[in-house]
Amino acid sequence: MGEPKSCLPILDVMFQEGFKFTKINHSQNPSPPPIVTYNYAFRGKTGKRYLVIVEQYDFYVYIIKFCLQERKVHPDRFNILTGLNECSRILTTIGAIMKDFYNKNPYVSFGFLGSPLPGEKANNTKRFRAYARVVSQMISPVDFEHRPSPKHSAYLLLNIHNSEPDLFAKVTQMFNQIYPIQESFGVDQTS
Amino acid sequence: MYATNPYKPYYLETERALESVMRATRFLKRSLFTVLVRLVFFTIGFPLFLFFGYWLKRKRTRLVKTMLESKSVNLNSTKDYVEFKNGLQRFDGYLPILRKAADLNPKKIPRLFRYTPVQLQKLSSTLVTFNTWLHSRLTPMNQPRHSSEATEFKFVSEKELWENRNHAYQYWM
Repeated sequence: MGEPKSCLPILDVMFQEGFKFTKINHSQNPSPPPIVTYNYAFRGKTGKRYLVIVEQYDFYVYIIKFCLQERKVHPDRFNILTGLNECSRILTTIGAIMKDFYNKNPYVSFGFLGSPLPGEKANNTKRFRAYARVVSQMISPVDFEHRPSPKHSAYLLLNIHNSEPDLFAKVTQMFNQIYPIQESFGVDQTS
Repeated sequence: MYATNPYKPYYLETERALESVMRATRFLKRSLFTVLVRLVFFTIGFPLFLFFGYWLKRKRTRLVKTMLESKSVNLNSTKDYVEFKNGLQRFDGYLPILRKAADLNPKKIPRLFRYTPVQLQKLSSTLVTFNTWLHSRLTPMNQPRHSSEATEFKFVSEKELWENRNHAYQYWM
């Protein structure tokens, strides 16, 4: 018995088909945090290249960021919308990268922020709402504890199997230190 | 002085006799039908009714074994979880009927016919208990594993996630 099939076939493939991604490199940070930064890349249907930056922190916490490669040096690279209309497949690719990390290490936890659009307030951003909705639908509560924070437009996926004492307290403390609320990072895809 | 006998045509007598015979036949038919019904009921219907009760009893015995086995079933993978939840959702659909059957008072039923309703009531009651057991399997997912005094990251329970989910999607992990 599998999951029930939808009457709309598109829903069965939506968030299932991502883009093919490749790992570019990873680098140890001489002055952590983050401890390690992993770089991935993939091309969208329009041929534009995207960069995915996965930062590893203490307690196997990984923070995922992504942007268009052509905007990687721009300070607002995580805020501007691309308008390329490939959001669902990009998020699916990010999900596949997360799964790749999880398969390599079953104790990983993930986190992300939904950066605000230009002129948008930092709390409960449009990106955060979109990502939170996708993550809550696509990642089961079997291995991860879902902890969104609309106030900070942040979302934590804490690994249930990680037996680190006071993991949540340590992660939130770390999160608040590294990413002040005003700082934003995330994706520029919701169009 | 010589009163004439009232005229009685012969066919009136015959008609009366015929009517009596017909009435008797009708009565006999009705009685025979009742007897037949009772006979069929006590020779076939009632044993079947009792057998149904026995079948329910057997079902309950097997169910108890399943209940004990289900304690050791793991919910460690997403696939297992989805299967479990879909099954539980179907099971929950029958719960109102099962609760009604479990609340049945067999003492109100005549002693002769009590066996099967008692078995039905016991089976329903066991199923309701089983449903509670199954729901309790999800309790760990509905309570935060990692606690903290920090309030900014609100815990979302498994129940909330499942209720707000579009079930046409398949989990990534």
